Amino acid sequence: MAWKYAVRECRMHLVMSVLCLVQAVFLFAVVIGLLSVFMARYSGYQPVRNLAEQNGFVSNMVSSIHLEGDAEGRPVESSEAYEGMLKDARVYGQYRVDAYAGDDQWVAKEREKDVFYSNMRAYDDEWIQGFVPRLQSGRWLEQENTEGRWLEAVVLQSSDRYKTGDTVYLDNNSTTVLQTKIPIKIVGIIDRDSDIIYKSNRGSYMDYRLLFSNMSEDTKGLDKVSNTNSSYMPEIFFVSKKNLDSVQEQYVAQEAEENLSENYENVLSTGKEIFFTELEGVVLIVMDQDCSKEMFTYNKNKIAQISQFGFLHDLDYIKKNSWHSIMTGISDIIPAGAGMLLFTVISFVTLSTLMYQKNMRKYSVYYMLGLTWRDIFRIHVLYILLIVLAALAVGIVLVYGAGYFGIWRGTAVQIGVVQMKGCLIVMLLLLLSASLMCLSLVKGRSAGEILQEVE
Amino acid sequence: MICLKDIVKTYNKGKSNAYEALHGISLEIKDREMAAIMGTSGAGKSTLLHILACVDRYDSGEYTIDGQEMGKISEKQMAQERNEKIGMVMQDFALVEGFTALDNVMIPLDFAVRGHRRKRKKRRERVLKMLELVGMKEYADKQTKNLSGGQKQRVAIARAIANDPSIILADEPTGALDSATTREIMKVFHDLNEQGRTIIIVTHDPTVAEECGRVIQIEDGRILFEPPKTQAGE
Repeated sequence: MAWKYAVRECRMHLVMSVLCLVQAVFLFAVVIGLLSVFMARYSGYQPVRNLAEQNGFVSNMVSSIHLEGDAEGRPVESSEAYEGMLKDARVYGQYRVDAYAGDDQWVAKEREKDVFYSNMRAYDDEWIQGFVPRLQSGRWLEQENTEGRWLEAVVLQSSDRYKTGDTVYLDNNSTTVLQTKIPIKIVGIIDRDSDIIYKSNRGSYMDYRLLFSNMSEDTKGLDKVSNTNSSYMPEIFFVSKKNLDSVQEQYVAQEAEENLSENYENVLSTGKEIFFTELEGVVLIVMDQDCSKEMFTYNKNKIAQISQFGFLHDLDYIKKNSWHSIMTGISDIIPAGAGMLLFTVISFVTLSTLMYQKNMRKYSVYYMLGLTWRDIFRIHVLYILLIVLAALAVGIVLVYGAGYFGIWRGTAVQIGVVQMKGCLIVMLLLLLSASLMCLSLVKGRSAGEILQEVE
Repeated sequence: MICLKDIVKTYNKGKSNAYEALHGISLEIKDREMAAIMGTSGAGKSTLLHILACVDRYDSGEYTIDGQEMGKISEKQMAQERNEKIGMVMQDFALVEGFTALDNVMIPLDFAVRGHRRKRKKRRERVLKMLELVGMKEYADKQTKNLSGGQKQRVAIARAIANDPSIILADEPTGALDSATTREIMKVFHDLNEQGRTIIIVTHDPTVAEECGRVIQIEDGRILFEPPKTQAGE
């Protein structure tokens, strides 16, 4: 019943309804526009926000060495080893793995050319969980993958040599031929245009962008299949450090002693490992939020002592700069946007209140004929809802339509989940404010009084 | 039976401009009675009618319809009473502009509570029957704004009786009509009364009051007297 009478309201007040609809469409357009601009900036920061908004440091490590004990002077091979040299810090590391992955023929060919290089990176769980690059196919790495006798890898490549489901093998980055043949199952291919957490070459940025690399951008203008250019690799195999350790543990006993390297941390039962790993690339060192200033300074000095790096920044500084770069420009248009929003909301609510007032006589007749004020109010709210829903639909069609004809090309305007949520909030705001205004018209007066006044 | 006992109604209660519109009205109207309420402007007729129609609450006293105390029921129940037991006819017809005659008469049927609501087809049949009863069936699909005053009042009466209420309350139903149309409308009220409905008409017009079986005179929020039928027109 309420819907039937709400629809009738639309038909009976066509001009007013269209006016309200136009205002609501404008309102949604402003919301979509503002949120699109914000999201275009924020979408880059969002995936790493949780990682970056901690207490600690971010560093682009080149190398780190043990300062004392048996391993003094040797490279730091794990985040645990690095943590051991700091005070109450956790290290989210990534590693250069002294290994070469590829299909049998390719490995043999490369070995002949004697141009071996490491094409494998390993991540600590925090990175695997913390940032997932855009994939062309397959899936991202799993954290708890230590069961099988194979490695799972996700590949970033400049050609289309490998695809999801392929199995390749692992060799070490030297002329030594390994006896073990460790299989690598390719579980996913990373989109070449996707940002990845790797060795940062964006040190000029002082915000979240310095965490990333991007193969397409980095290899622009280079011959993508050539591997003689040392500035990039034709493919990189990303694996889980845990998975790498567990697979090595299973194969290390059957590998020739002379092919093994010393494992300084003795994490493996043999005290040896097949593939040497070294902390390298973008590394986070985090501490508790309430850690003392002294401890913070101690750790920072220690890092400077242990490591060579491209940069070392406080995460707090990165966070501040990240928000600053996101909001630059946006903060200029926020007052104008908020003003437009407020103006349109007030104007919409005024129109809807005027309509309610205009309808008071009709509503008092409805009351006389058997409705409660609550029922009548429901009809009015449904009527507003119909206008707002129609406005939302028109707004979406307009935005998509304009997008289809390329009007938004080169702009940030788009309709995503956040924009829809924003529209939903505005919709609720409109309904709520329109409802409250209408309620205030009835409040404190009896139906009889209203009827008498209307008469 | 309608029974009012010491009904007091104060507007703007608790404020500096508070005034008592009804000062302890007591009244009994039997089933199938046809009564007129007369009084000068501001005497409290409309307030009394709104209380009788359950569109307004009273401050003290007792108002019962068929033994049910109206002051003790919820808003929702009161709305149901208005919908099912009471039909109202207003001086300005109170028709919804932009609706056809059929749509207007349909309103009380649409507003019936679930369980009491007829099916769509039955509702339409009922509306056409009511319009036929007041001689307006051929105008069913006409916009009410295109009807004459008399036709509008007939539609309003059809709407008032759509849910077959036992009480019809009319507030100056002939106030906006010429004498010939007044006679026609009064005949409709008589017919409804003969069908067994209680009719209460608020009027200024002594000729209208004369046609009612009983006249209740109200002045300054009090019932003055109930003159015998023959004195009503004097």
